[in-house]
Amino acid sequence: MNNLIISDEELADNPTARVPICILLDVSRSMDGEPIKELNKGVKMFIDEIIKDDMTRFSADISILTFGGIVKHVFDFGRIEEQEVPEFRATSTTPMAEAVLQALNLLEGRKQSYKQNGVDYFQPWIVLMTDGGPTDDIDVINEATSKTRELINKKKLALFSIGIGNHADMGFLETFGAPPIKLKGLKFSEFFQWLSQSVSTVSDSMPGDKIQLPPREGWDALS
Amino acid sequence: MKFIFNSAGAIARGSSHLKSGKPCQDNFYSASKKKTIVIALGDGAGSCSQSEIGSELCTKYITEFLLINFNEIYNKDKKEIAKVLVSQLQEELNLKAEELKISIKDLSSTLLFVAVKNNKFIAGHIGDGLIGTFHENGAKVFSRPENGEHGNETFFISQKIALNHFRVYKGNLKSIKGFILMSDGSYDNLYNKKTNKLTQANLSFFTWLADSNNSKGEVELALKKTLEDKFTKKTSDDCSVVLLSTEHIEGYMDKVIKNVVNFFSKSTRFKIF
Repeated sequence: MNNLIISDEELADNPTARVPICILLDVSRSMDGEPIKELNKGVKMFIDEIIKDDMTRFSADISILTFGGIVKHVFDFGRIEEQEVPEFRATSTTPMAEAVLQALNLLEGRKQSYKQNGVDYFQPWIVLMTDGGPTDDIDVINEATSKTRELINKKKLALFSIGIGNHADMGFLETFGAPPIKLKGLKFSEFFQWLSQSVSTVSDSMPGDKIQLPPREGWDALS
Repeated sequence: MKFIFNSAGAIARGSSHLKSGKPCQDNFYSASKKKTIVIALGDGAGSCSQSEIGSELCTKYITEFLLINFNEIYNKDKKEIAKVLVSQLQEELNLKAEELKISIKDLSSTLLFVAVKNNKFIAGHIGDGLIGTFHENGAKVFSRPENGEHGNETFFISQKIALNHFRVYKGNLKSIKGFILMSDGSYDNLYNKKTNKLTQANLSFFTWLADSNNSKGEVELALKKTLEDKFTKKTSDDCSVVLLSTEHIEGYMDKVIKNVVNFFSKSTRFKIF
């Protein structure tokens, strides 16, 4: 038998398909104290979990925006290991809708970058965590909610709205087009652990797979 | 003119299926009869319960159908070919679904195939995976995957919208010396997504097949080893490939006619004014 072997150089080295995720965190005044402390802990743990997991390290593409007074882009898409998660401080008002609009722009830009570079990607996610309601102008709110609803209806976006504490406006969160979920107490760590497992599930999925995210018992107030 | 066809294929079960205990959902089939050969490959949909049965059924059925009906199908236009083939395949899937008391959705599969008779071919493609062709100067992409926008979306023969996504090709072989069908697991290794080109490994596989010193068994063993040792390291999906080589050999009378034509075209005595 002739030498029927191929070398690694003859194969393609394609990039892993990405799961682009924008995490929007309410750091308004009302989050001061235990909530912001637990939130900081949860986000750091999430990034560590993503880096540790062989699957998600290459597939999860994460950006973080905070909204407290202004919207700040504190963590960008790209190599997670090379960035540091800042410490969040609670301050001022809740420009939630503005944060959602910025997230939608960031995700659209990221998708264009994937297309230009031949990188496959899964359905983008927005994860929105808030303990109140928006303080934006009504025009901005309407623009944000109608854009997200349209994208969700076309299956171009998955949105997870998480209400924190007793004053989260769950009725408003529903207007984004996906049923909101109430966080059990301050179970941020449990939520972010679920989030990293969910990213792993999606990035391992194949065409035709019905994606079954992990159970939410540890952090969903209604589970 | 005489045509000689060879085919070889292999499948490797993906690590995600090994972990979950799911069977391999890729299938391929090839058969030849007189002057016709058909190769087909199918990739069953991930979470559909019996999609490995769907991919096996589709690949076997399309192969047997085109072996018998090549001429009749070739003479139709591409739209009509698509209609006939989709309808036949869906009927077979529905019958199987009834027999197993499941829905046709549970048998969802992609499908790629090439049928060659003498110097004519018919090819078809629904879903992801890729069809390539081989020429004197290398390998080319012939039919690209059709995915939805997102990495885990594609189209299946069982869907109501299948006809809108069933691509049909037909024509003369001309410079085509062979074909390769690959599932999406294999295409991650055999196709460079940034340059949109097939990699050197495709040509290596084809050379193995076209080399008469290699038996079909040897080639298939080597293909399987490559899929298992290399491809499944880069993807957790099932991986499969099937190749077809076509060689035409001039018969004695073909050579005689060629020589006569050459003589008269060169000779000045016989120029027509």
